Amino acid sequence: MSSVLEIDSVLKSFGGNPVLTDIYLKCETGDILGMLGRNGSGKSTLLKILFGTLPADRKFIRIDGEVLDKPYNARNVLSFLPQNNFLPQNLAVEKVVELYLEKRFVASFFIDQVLDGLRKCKVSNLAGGEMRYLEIKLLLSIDSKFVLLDEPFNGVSPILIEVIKGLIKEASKVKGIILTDHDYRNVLDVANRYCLVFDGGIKQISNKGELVKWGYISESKREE
Amino acid sequence: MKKVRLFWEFHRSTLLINWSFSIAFSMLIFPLFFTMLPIYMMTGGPILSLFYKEISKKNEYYFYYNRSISKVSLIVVSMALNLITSFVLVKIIAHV
Repeated sequence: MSSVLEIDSVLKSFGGNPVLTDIYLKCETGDILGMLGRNGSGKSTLLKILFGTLPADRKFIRIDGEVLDKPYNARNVLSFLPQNNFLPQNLAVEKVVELYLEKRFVASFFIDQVLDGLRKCKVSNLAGGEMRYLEIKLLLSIDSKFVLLDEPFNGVSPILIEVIKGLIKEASKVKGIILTDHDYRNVLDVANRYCLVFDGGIKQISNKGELVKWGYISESKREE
Repeated sequence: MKKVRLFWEFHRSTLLINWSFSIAFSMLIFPLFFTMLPIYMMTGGPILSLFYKEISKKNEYYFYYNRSISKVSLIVVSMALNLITSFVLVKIIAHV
């Protein structure tokens, strides 16, 4: 069944400075929405507001017709990968997976070139890229309708980025995904819709030329 | 059942600081050790533990948010478990 997430009329200021002024965003099952924007443009702020962990001055979030104030409180609706690692450092990888997934899915979760052999390892002993991969795979594996990924490619090696992009594409068959990252080439590669957070609002992007037009990338990057 | 385990894991992650603080501070007034221990275990210990989480492991709350568990419910359940533990401890001490 297809689901629809909409966020509208978002207003957010920090210390009197408006960061987000009038946002409208829509994501449906099957979408991989790549959200780009300069540092400090409000991408992460928007994702946190959407998830419900950051209050906004004004917001309107609707998922499948139901208005939600804190979407993360609703069961199986939204998952969120924050910028910084969120897994409890004291737990073993296996324990983390068991706490998130049904028992019957745990064994197949570990049939994986990266996680194979890390089952008994403590989360705190994982390398940065391995931890990011584990977090992303976990969030894409749980039964939420939408997944928000804030900088999924940060600190991850190119070979692992390719694996993550594969996971995102596979998960988008049954979920809607919104992702943001400064690695815009990989965002443009994996996403099937794009937008740019600019001047407190959202600009829909259909080609690289528009990223040049709005000053996100320079003219020299257009042909790369 | 998964949620119960998640609540337990959160509570478990607060125990080291809670118990260390409670035992250390109870020993400061040794003659009242067994009186003060349960009191610290349901007051200063958990507060210190939650404060430590707030300043150094705040992001780990997302582990629970992603399973639809709010910070308030985690804290309420953990405090309730501390209350029960302290109550049981008081009963045991009274019988010894």
